[in-house]
Amino acid sequence: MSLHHRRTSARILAGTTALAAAAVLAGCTAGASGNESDTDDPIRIGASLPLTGPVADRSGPGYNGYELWAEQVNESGGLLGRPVELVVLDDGFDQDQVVSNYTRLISQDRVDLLLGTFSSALNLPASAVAERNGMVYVEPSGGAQEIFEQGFTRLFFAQPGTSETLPDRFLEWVESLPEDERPATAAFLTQTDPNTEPAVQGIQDGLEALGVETVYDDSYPVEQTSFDAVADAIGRAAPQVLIHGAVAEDGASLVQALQRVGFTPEVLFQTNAPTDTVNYPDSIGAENTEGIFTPVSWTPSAQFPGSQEFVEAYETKYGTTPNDDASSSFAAAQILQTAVEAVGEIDQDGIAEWLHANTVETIAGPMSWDERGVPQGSLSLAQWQDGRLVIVLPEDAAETSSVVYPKPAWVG
Amino acid sequence: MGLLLQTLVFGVLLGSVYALASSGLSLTYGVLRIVNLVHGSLLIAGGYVTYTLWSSIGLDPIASVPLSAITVGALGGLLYLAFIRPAMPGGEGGTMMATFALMIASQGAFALIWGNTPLTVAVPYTRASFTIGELNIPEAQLYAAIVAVLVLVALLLLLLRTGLGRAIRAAAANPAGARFVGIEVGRINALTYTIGAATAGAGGALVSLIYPLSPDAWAQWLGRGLAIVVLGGLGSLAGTFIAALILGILETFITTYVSLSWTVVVPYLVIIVVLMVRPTGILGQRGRTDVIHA
Amino acid sequence: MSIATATPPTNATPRRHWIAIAGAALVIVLLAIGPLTWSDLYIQNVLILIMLLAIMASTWNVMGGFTGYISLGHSAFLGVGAYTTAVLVVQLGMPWWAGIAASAVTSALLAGCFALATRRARGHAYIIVTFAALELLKVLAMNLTAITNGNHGLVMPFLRVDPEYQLWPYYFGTLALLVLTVALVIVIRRSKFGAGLLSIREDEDKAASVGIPTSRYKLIALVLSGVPVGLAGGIYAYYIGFVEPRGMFLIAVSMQIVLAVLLGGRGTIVGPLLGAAIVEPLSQLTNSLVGGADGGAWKLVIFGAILLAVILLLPRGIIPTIGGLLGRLRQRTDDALTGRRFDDEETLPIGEALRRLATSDHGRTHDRSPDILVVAGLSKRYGGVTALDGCSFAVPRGSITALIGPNGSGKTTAFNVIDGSQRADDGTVRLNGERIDGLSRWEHAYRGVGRTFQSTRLFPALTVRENLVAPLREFRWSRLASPAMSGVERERAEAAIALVGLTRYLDVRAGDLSYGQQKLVELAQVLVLDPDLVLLDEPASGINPALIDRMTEIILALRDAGKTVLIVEHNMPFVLGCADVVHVLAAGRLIASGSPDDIRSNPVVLDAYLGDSEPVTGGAK
Repeated sequence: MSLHHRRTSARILAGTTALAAAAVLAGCTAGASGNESDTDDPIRIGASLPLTGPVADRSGPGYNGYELWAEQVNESGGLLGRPVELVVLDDGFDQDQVVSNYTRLISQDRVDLLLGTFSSALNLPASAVAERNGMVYVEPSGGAQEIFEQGFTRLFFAQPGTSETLPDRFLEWVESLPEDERPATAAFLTQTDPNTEPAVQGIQDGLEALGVETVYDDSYPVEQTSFDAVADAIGRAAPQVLIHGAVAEDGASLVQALQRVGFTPEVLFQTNAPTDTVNYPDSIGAENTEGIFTPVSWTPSAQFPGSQEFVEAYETKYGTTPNDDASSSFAAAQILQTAVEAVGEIDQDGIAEWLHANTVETIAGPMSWDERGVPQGSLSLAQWQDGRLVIVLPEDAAETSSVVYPKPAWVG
Repeated sequence: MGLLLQTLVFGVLLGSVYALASSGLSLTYGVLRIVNLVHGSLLIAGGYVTYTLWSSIGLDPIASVPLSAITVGALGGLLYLAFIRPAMPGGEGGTMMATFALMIASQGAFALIWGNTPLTVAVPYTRASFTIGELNIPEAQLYAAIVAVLVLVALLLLLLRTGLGRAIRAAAANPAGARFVGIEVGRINALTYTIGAATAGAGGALVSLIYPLSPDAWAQWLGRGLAIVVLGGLGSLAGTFIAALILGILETFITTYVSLSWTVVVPYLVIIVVLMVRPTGILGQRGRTDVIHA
Repeated sequence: MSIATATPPTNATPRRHWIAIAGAALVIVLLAIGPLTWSDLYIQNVLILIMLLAIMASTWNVMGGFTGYISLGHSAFLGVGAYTTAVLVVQLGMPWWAGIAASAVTSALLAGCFALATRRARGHAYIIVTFAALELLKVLAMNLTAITNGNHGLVMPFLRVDPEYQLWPYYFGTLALLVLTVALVIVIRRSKFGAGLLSIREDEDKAASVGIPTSRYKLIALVLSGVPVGLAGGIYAYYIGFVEPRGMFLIAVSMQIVLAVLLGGRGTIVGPLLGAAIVEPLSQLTNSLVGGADGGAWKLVIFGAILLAVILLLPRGIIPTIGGLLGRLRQRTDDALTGRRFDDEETLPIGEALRRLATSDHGRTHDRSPDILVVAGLSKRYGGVTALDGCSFAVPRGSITALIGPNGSGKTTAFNVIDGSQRADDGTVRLNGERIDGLSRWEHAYRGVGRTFQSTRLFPALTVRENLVAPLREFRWSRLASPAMSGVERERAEAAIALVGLTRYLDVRAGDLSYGQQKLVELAQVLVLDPDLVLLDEPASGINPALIDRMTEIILALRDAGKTVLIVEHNMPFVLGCADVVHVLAAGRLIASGSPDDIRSNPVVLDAYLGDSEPVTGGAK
């Protein structure tokens, strides 16, 4: 026992000393930080974004939206007369990290205000951190119902509608068709995602209520990459309407596979993917976008106050057209800004109360919230027409009155 | 019947590309005895090289197969000499962590160079297909499968008919013995890794034709590759090919006849079942050290 | 003629021991009063993450470090624990403590499934299968929506606490669990059970042959390493507040665990803790090092680079590296003392040593039939090759029986079937009248069969002493936790080593001994089992003549002590010189039996050996 034992003990000693040193060090740094903010100091606004990992392509434009807003605010004299400073951390789409990051932003970086992250999976734990610490949390993404059912009072969603109301405009359009022109069959395919799944389910329920028969219904996890067999199966079911709850590149992949099996539905409704106005037409062929429906919170041609100025500024700064992720984060920051200016000071409870009571004008239209933080509107329905994504419903926001139906067949 | 045949065709086309994509993993496992976690990333690197050639000078992905193979092969060889070989004294844990580290770093590098937005090589024929009666044969998949088979045949000839191939097989079967008969095992290992990386490069060129590229796309290829290598018998190239076909067919059949949501479990289920029931795989050798003989 | 060995524990040991305990207590106290004095939530949060990682790394080390099985699936226990708690609390409305308690049960069940799924996988195959299991669980969590709510995840009830104390429940819960976990790991490492795990790491087949029930040990190790992580998962579910498939079954977490252990030092107690205390802050640091939209990508590059640097610069980990440096320093001063004390070998008379090794009551059979072992009709084929072809013979009790035959006649296969390391296609093996074919190897050991190997198989990284206390004569649950080197075990080890005359090598690593010495130590190891039937596979091959004489002496003494010895041997003078009965095998069958003199003159035997390089009469005058 002796020899071995002795060595173990020495190691335990070495390790414990190191641990103790680490703990003491941690204590010291903790004590050093955390000075009270001065009135001339910048207002610090913290956010964590999944800048790497599976949703990185969506949060990149989101980051730009925050950055552009901060730049514009500082150019026009700041917030409450103080400059704003963004503190953005990366969480790599990891829940541990997003909790760590928001905790850190609040307790170490001592930020004055918070902005939300991307995806429901991250906004759920992140919003809980904000709530625990009594901070207002305006999120640009994360429309899953679960988020709003936690009983949080300082949570606000910065898009006009959630997945709950996502089907509304599309169903409205189907209903508006004369009885004899209405489609009779539909297929439903969705990624198992907290946003798309309930949305697609909502459309399915709505269409079935309108007498449309479901001929195909399936879902797949994010890991799925091969869509040939499923496109073939859909082609064999030959639905008139295809509803696809896409999240990212799965949207273009399915359309490519549909082209290969040579099946064109009369109506193709796809979430998320078609709003990528840069890559989506490239991947599926620009002519083939014609007639594809998608729900949007905003389009580059939207006519809400400030929207066109935003597009212009964004294009100047980043060299590409902004997508709806960029506009959502810009709008989230606008909402926070409006409330802070209205309250006149950084008072989290005051800001929350004000937002619950008022309507905010954003680049994505006017928004107001119920007690859960759910916006009181719904998303617009957009369609690709002549190589452009245009809003077709609701009527007051519509950029055109014509709707492409049925969708033209794929071209090589 | 039409559906059955169609499903089979999709499965075989998919399986052929899987075979090329995982052959390098099998080779590096068989000869170097490492689980090369960076293999999926090398594959994606091949895809990105192909994308760059296509978007800058309009080179067809099929034509860039050799270029991609050479580039990624060279890159792989360098990574091996610089990082993987020095980690070998750490045993299976050491090489596993080293290849994992490379995988993480390469994901970051891809994001820096090509961005996080998924990229597709949108040559027109990726959206076209041949039709024979009721049967539908996607053009891009067909070309990819043919090229994959050609590259695999070349690889097999290299292993069976050349001196280098003999040396590789000797080093795989018995490193000590190979050293004894004058084979420089160290050099052979480096060459084997390079060849394995080159097949990943070739595979990546073909994959870019069928799937979007993103910095984290290695994950799905790694799981699939490991399943194929295990099913084929760790280190057996012929087994790898058969296993890849089986996996491709199994995946499409599950998609068509069960549900799309269960397709992704196929590789993992295959790994677990094979290692429980027949740990040597379809064509694996006997007497493996990593299997408990019951 | 005393056993003049085993340096008694020096005074230094208890002192160091106390310093270590004091150090550990200091860390625990610091960690415990930490949150009371610093209110910084971020520090508390990082400490919680460090402690969670430390729990996972310490328990991973039980399989990965002690037992030698590298797993990529360890984070599955965290996921299953978190899901169990979430499902019970959210879906079924049970209280929090019921959820966390159930996590212990489900993680134990998962450990059982893991053991089943990995029962035939080692090395790389084990890495791959654990990776697959983790991914499979993730897909199950996604698809079994009725239970798990699929990708929507489960939102844990929100605890409203004053912001300043909000992390305390998680912090102190995790701290308590960490302390218990480390205590558990220390107990395992010092126990008889832990010694068994180490021998599995060194040579699993050999471990089974000296009575260690390897599959049962691995199952227990998996359960013990899974349950703490399952409990941690329960706490983690509340801490994160949201349980969903991708976050709970994360391969990156498994990798972080492996990294922490490798960095700190695999197989050590403190290494995984130290590793966790470095890895987690490091990932927090790289996270805030670079900003901007590309910051995330840079983070991956930097993290990968740091990882590579660790693997390449510190392949053995921090603690073993420091230990090695200290060891070298100490050796310089100690050498003079330990080196040359036993110039003249002090050995125990063999009979006396065997008497000390004899177990008074080992509960074995009281069968006294004339033949201890009866082999009947054994057949074994490998593909097209027939190794055994209806082979039958008997071994008389108390005899020295030799099994000879030309190369490829099936002698070693017969041995393997008798000791249970291979199964025959057909035929029976009876020991003391009881059928033992079909029993596991360790069951053979418990019934009194001990065996040495043709090329010796000791546990090379363990000391001779550790090799000698490893054998188990029976399996008892109550013994698992007893210290690896109790007084009785030490005495038996010392008696066994004295028997072969290598007492002075007790604290030398077995792998550092010469081949002949290893052969003798292996024999001593088998004798610790106090076997009734000793199987010796070529005991005289490859060792020098002086050692052969010693070997002969020992074998004869074994018989005199009432043991039965069965030898496979090519060295004819040696075997014919000491055997009472000789069985001759050729082409997998018995062709002749008798006394050495009968065999020498048997023409059938001569025929069988014709063409073989070792004529049976060679040297036997």
